[in-house]
Amino acid sequence: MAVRAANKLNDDWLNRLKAQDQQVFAEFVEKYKGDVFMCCRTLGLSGDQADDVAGETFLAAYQALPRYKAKAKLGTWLWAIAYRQAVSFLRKNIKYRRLKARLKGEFEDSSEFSPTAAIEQKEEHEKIWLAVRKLPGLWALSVILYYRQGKKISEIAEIMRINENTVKTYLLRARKKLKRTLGPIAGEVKDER
Amino acid sequence: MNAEKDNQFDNNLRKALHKHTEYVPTDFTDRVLNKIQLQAEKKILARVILLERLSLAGCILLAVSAIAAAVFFTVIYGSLTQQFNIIIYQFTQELANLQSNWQFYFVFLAALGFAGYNLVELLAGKN
Repeated sequence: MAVRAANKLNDDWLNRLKAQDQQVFAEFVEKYKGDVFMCCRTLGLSGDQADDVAGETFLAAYQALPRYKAKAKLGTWLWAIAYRQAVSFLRKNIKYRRLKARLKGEFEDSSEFSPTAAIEQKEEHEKIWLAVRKLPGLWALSVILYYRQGKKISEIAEIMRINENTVKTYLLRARKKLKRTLGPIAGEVKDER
Repeated sequence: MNAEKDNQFDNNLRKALHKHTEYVPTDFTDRVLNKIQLQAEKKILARVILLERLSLAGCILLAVSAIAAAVFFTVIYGSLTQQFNIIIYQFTQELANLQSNWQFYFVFLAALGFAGYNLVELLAGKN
């Protein structure tokens, strides 16, 4: 009974969102703005750039809401829009060769993440995050979507408009690089619950 | 053993990434809503401008049609009053005359109708 009531509430909320109800849309923005910023920053945009692209993402989402047919989850749908907006921004602002290098290029090793680095270090999880961000954009995004957002391979493929084998390749390569770079640092992340 | 290590690595990666959040400006949602409102207002303004332009075009067409009628159809224009009187008294004969000049009347009425509608929109439109 309670589950049915909750589902009905969700359906009502979704219907109002598709009808572009301002209050519900504000809730939608509040709920997903973190994810959209995460997508932009993972692809290498600066803070200000991420702000602009995130704004454009929600604008595009607002216009596309009446056509949303719930084939994909709402979060997945929004991630796809954010990804396209971010790549479109990068395409306009970076020359093709640099864009290719940024999204698919080889990882540049950095001693910053060496286990024997200086004493004044960020928290462990921030170091891991920085290591992920240093990966080529598409690898980093695959990692974020898989490990942080809990998306399935098929959903990641849909968001990034690539095939599933490519997603698996990105994840495999990303894991290898991260293991090599982080080594003992990724051994234990303290659970602060 | 390797599978265990792999799982541990995956779990640690997952935990670490879950801990991380990106900074989002506090006024972001308000700015997005303002942008949406601005866009809606721009759309309405664009529609109003289009209607105004159509009205203006209609008025110009009306004037041009009247001039064209006066200049190129002087014979018909000159005999309109006479034809009007004949129409009242000899309806079927003038109907045959009308039928032979139907193209002119059709174009003129269409242009007049369109221009008239736009004039009404221009003067009495609520936008």
